[in-house]
Amino acid sequence: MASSVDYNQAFQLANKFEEYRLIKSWGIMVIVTGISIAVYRLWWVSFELLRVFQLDLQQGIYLIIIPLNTFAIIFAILPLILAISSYITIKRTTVEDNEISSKRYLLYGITLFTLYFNNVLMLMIFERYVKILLSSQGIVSSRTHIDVSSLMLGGFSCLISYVLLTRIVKRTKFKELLAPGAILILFSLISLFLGSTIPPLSHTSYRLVNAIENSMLWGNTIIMVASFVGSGLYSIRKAYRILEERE
Amino acid sequence: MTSNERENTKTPAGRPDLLPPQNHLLTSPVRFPIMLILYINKKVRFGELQRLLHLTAGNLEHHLKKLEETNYIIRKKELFPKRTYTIIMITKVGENAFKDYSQKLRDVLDKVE
Repeated sequence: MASSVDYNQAFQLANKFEEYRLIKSWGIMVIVTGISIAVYRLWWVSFELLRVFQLDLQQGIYLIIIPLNTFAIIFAILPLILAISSYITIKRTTVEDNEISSKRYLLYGITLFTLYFNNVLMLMIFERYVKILLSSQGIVSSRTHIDVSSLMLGGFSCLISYVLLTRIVKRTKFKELLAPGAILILFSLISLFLGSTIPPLSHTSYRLVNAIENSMLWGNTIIMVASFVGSGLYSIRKAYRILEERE
Repeated sequence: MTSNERENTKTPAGRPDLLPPQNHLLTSPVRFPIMLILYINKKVRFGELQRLLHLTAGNLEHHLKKLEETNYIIRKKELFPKRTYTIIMITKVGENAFKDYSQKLRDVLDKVE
């Protein structure tokens, strides 16, 4: 380094650090989101345990539904709160490009919020309303558990953020947003196709339909969590590469 | 700034002193980026700063010590399950000093214009 202060270089370093922080926090949040979605799904399925332990509906509401919804709300709103607080903090500082940084934080937060909110809320909506509508038109089996719409919307929220972010920041490619987006949409299409192939109950045994449903639910969860964790780890590695690169 | 202080920032030739001597700590090419990053982020890990600035641990330690002596920063150890991290945090004194210094820089630029 030169013996006098190179202010340009100092600001470049500050921006680089900002980028590192942002991509690293996105990576961590994506991993947390993926794992919390898996936990949520396990919890959702645990409603079945009510029958095993012979609990009544009232006990089920206190033991499962209320904590489940609290968990869902906290995990959905957390990235949004973090993004808004980062937005305010960065906007207050007098460093160049702070507008862009703030917007990026906010967009990341909104993406994660949409991802989680869609997955959790749509799982409920799909189970209760959309599935009935789709099955009445013969699009999916009325007995299937696939939450296609949540996967589809989650995927689209990633891709929309990708388009917006690449338009705002020309330098970075944001591949970490493309991967989960593409995987979620692709998998939702596969699920939709597989869901439509499940034969009606009268033509096959209850056990077979149940096995197909369960393998789809868990296959879908495993692939989703794997794509989230993989994408998160990729982002963290990328963040460290950015930190270490020389100008 | 009082008139007396304004007098002190003038060189013998009568020109306004561009970088007042009381900010010599921040005119270092290493300490300025450290303070800028801390001013924005409030706290940073030692390892992160070392990677970003491409400095040896000893070199970074030397600069941090200088900033610590003037109460611009404080250091804290944070325990994680497998290792310990040194967290560097900016103090109120450091924040005000950096703000003051950047304001003076802006004033200098205004004078040049």
